[in-house]
Amino acid sequence: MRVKLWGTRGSLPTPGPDTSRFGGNTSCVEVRADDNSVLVLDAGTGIRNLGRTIPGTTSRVDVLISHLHMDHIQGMGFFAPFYVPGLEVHIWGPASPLETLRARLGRYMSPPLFPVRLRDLPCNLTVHEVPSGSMRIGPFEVETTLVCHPGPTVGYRITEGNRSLAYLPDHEPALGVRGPLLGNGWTSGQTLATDVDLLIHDAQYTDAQYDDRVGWGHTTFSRAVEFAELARARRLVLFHHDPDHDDATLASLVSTLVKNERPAMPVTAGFEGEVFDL
Amino acid sequence: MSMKVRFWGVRGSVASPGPETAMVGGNTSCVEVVAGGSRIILDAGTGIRRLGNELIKQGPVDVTLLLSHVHWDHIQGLPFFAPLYAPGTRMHVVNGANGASTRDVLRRQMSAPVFPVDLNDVPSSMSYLEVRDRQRFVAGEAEVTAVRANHPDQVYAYRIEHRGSSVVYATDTEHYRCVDPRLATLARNADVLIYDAQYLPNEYAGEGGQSRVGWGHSTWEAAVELARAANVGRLVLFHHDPSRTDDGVMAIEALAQGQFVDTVAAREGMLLTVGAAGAARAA
Amino acid sequence: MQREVEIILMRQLASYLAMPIFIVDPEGNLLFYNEPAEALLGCRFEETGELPAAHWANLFTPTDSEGAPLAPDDLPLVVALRTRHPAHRDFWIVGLDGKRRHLKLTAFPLVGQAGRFLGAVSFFWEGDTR
Repeated sequence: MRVKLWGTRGSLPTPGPDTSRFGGNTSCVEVRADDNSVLVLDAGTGIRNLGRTIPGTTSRVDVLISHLHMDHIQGMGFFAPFYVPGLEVHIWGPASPLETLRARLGRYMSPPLFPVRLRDLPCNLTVHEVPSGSMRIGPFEVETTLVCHPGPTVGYRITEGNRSLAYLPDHEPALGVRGPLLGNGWTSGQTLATDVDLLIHDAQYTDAQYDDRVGWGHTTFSRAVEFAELARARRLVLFHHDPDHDDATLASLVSTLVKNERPAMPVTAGFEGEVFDL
Repeated sequence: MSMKVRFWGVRGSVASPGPETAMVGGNTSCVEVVAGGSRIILDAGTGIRRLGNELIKQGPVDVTLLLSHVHWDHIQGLPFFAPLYAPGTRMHVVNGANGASTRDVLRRQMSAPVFPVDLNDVPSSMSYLEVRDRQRFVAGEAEVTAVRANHPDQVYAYRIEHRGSSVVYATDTEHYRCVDPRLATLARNADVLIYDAQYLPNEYAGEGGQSRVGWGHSTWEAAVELARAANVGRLVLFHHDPSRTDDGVMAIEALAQGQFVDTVAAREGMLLTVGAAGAARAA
Repeated sequence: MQREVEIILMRQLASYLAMPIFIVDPEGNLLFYNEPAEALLGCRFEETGELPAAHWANLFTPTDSEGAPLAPDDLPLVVALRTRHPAHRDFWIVGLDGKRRHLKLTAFPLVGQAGRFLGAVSFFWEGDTR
């Protein structure tokens, strides 16, 4: 399984020379199986560059959306495979109590906000609400769980053979927790990330930033490490970088983190274009 | 007196961060115009975030936001405009009348499920004006004229005038086969014309790919024709395609300069001083 | 075993509130009780952890205003689980300090995303002591 980061930024794209190392595109991760099947995790602006690399011979693309905040769907209209006539495209995302996923995506992807409607896309599009639990997409075993973040939000665990990835880009496992994160399944997302080879996890805030942003659905650097250790992840990639953290700030925050926390696994800040061969 | 025009986002369609766009900039549409003591912001693409971070340091914010239209790339930065969350901020939002209330449309991107803070809950004071074709209105010390342009969903171009200086902002408009007479009238003798130049002429025509006719954007050639027909002082090429690299933008700029000397491709951070003192107008 | 996120958030809320709160799963097993509830039960959550339905129901014996024991089926939490509707009633218990206490209890079912039935919660209020 090969994992490539196409967008690592949270909230809003941040183009510019001072973010060019870690990247300014919003959330998008490509997961490629040994047989070349592709899963796309989230449709932030990073999906535009990813779309340009998907060959015309591809027969099917699956896009798994964690939730419908803007930075996770804003690249959707610029994903080239959507405009390939007949290409089989599946969008998966969380259900909500009142409206279908298709209707909620359509609120954003329709005039006057965007000129093309979902139903006008020439690809052969199916929209699915992800079930809680497991499902199979081609060679991938996909496990989903609702996780702690405002509005219905799911985390994904992707397994192919004996390799696994957990994707929790927007996640606040420490909401309302005063001491250490709780064990025994009392921490949101814990099982999803247990013993994974690679954990891609929200680390938007410093401890000081978090004090003013409790309940906003994001994690601090130190809590991300604590969560990874609780789940015994083998590698942690910090993700969903704050728009106000430029390259120098982020690099220094991560090196301080590693020095202070001495994590049990390798911990790095994900950067655009980074590839993990699991 | 003069106006100051600063470019905070010059990209079209979708933000395009990356090393190939770092010089020109990858933020979507946002231009700041300072006319005397008044501040006008043209569009609220991702570029507005940094503008907001600057403004919030300078005390209470009172701005007029002119929206060309409400496609994502022209409004997606608004939820990240820091002054929106300051109780002392006054923001006057102007948009072309298109049947839907501007407030409702903006709320579609600022409410659950797409954004955690609801537009209804922000503490700043916001007012809305929906303008019609050829309507003139006042924005602080400046006078503004709105004119409808050519785009799949309704788009308006604006001419901002302040004590004899003038700036015209016409993005997301399509030229089709001739110079748009309404835009030529709007831009007549303007000091600066900021104009959509998203496509190369051959891309627009669909040579070697899909034609972009009907997509609501224009080319550097059409920009030059309009600039000449309207006798503008300076032409600013704007709304660069997200796939256009820095080299690509420079190449377009050079081609356009060959036909209209006082042309510049918009870059993030670029500052133009318009009018008497700055002599933005070609001699 | 992973707890459902709705249950996790309910526990976190309960841990901040100053009224006794019990959270049970669809089978009535006690998943969590907060500090004010510890005073009613006479045990600490940290020591007992999750308690099976049969066990925790015996920890106190609620009675009606006349002192007659209540049938388990009449307890609001049991009603909320069985009917999936909220239930409320007054009852009396003898506290750990030997005092008779009047309690008001509201129980409501927890229905999560996609209509998943996740259990029930009960809140206690102290009535007049007599």
